[in-house]
Amino acid sequence: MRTTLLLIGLAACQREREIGLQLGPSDGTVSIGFRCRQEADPAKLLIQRAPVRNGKIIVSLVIDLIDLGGRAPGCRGEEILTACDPGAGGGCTIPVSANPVRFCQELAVEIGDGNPQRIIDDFRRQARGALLTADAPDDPVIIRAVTTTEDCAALQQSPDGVFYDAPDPFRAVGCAYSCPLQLDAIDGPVFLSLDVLTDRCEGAVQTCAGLR
Amino acid sequence: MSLTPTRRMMLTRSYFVLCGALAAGCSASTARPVTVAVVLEDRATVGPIANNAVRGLDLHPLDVPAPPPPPTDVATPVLTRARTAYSQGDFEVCRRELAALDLGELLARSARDHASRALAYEAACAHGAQARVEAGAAAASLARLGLELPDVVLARDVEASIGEAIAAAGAQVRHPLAVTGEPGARLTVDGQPAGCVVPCSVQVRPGAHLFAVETDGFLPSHRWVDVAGEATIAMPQEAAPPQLAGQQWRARVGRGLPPTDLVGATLLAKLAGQPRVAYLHAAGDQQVMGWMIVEGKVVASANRDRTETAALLGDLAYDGGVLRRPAVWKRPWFWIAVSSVALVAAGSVVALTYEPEIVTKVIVE
Repeated sequence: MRTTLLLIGLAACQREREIGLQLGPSDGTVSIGFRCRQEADPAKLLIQRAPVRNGKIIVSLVIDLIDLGGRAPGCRGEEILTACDPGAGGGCTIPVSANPVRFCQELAVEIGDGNPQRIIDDFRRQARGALLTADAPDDPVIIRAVTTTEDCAALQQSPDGVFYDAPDPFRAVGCAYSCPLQLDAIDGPVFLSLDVLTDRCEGAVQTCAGLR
Repeated sequence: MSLTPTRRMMLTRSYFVLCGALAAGCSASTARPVTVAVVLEDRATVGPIANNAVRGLDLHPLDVPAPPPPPTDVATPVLTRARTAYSQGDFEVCRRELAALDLGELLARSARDHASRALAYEAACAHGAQARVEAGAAAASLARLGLELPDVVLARDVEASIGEAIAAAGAQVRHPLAVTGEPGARLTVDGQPAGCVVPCSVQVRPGAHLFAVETDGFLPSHRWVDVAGEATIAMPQEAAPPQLAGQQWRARVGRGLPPTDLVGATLLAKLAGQPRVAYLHAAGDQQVMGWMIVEGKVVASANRDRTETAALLGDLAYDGGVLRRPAVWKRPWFWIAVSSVALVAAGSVVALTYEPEIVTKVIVE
C-alpha cells in the first residue's frame, strides 16, 4: 500500500518525455554536414579521411548538448557564434555533470564499393537508437553531432573536470547542429543540419566542430 | 521513529482531548447564569426543560394560574329572602336582609338587575315599614342610577313613588365629568360601560354614581362619586399581584388576544416577578414557537422543531441580548471554516502553480 502511494506520489511529481534526434534536416535523411567532400579531392567524402580497419571506416560520433548560459539566440550561425563568443559577452560550455551531456560512440562504417551514399546509410544505421541522455538539461542548449577521427576515450576526458573541450576541428569529418532549444519544452523530433549551400563544406565542418 | 499501537492510541486520544478543550474554550461562557423564567404551554407535547438546559442560563419553569372562577352569586338568595319577607309583610326582616347587600359591589360587577331589584324591594319594604324617607331615597337612587324597573310585584304606592322618582331624575340636566386614572382602563358608570377608556369625559346627572375602572395589570377599583361637587375625578388602581397578573394573562389568551403583545408581555413579566421571561408554545405538529420578554417587552422570537426546545431557548437568549454572543473568532466553527478556506486556497495555489519535474530523454532516430 505504502509503495503504491509512493509510486503515485512520484508519478505526480515527475513527467517523462522522449524526444527523437534526427541526424538530418528531415526524417530519414543525414545532414549535408556528414556528407561534405574533401577540398583536396572532391570525389571523396570527408568521412573517408578517417582511418580504415578491416575494410571499415572507424569514426567516433560525439554528440554534445552545448549550454548557452541561459541565453536563447536565434538559429542563424552568426547569432550562435555571437552567443558563444566570450568577447561579445557570451559563452557556451559543455559541462561535466551528473547527467551526461556528451555522448560518444565509435562507429565502424562499411566502405563497400566506396559508394558515398552507402557509406552514409551505414553510418546512419549504426547511430540509430543511441540514448544521448536520460534527463536533458532544463536550460537552452544546442545539440551538436560531430564525426571525428579522435577516439571516444580522449573525448570523454575533461581537462579541468568541469567542462569538456570541443572536438579537434581539424580531425572532424562531419558536423551538424540544431537550433537553440529547450528540450523540456518542445515536442516532436529535433533535426540537425549544417548551414551550407553545397557539399564543399570542409571549412564549415571545422567551424561547427570547434564551437564552444 | 515507529509508534507502538498503544502509544499511537494515546497520541490520538490526546489530540481529541486537545481539540475538545480548544472547542470548549472557544465557545460561549458566562460567569454567572442569567435567570430566565420559562412559561411553557403544551408541556405535555413540548416536554420538560432542565434548569441548565442552556449554557449560561438558569431556567425556572413558571406555571400560569387558571382564570378565577366566576364570583359567587350572594345577591340572588338575599333577594329571594327579601321578596319572601316582603310578600309576608315582614318588612323589617326584608330590610335587614337587603342591608347585607353592597350596592356598589353589585354595580361594579355590572349586576344592574340585582341592584335594581334590591333598590325596588328596599323602597317597598321601607314604605311598608312606614319609613317614607328611606323609601323615597331608595326610589330616587334607582332612578338616578338609570336602573330598569324590575319585573317584581310591588304595592301600587311604591310603584307610583318609583315612577315619580324616575320622572324627576329624567328632568335633571347631565353634567360633564372628566375621569383620570391608568391609561386604557375600561370605565363603567353605574354598572354600564361608559363607552370610553380612561382618561375621558362622561355626562352624568347630579347625585351619587358608582364609577368603576378595570385594566390588565392592575387591581380593579370602584368608588361612589357625588357628581354635583366635582368636575374631575381620579380613579387610581394598584398594581396587580403576580397571581392576578397571571390570571389576567390567561383570561386575555382565552379571549383570543395575542399572548405576547405589549400587555401580554407585561403581564407575563409581572407573573414571573423577574425581568426575563421566555414564553414557548407548540405550533402545529412539529414546531415550537418562542418569545423572549425582557422588562415587559418582546425582544426576540423564533421557532424550531419540538425536539430542539433547548436550542430555541438559546436562540432567544442570544437574539434578545440576554446572553452575549461569543466573538466570531471564539467560535469553533469559525476556525473550522478558516482552516477549510485556507486549505482550499493552499490546494488551489498548489494546483495552479505546480509544475512537475520534466525528464526528457533524447534518442537518435
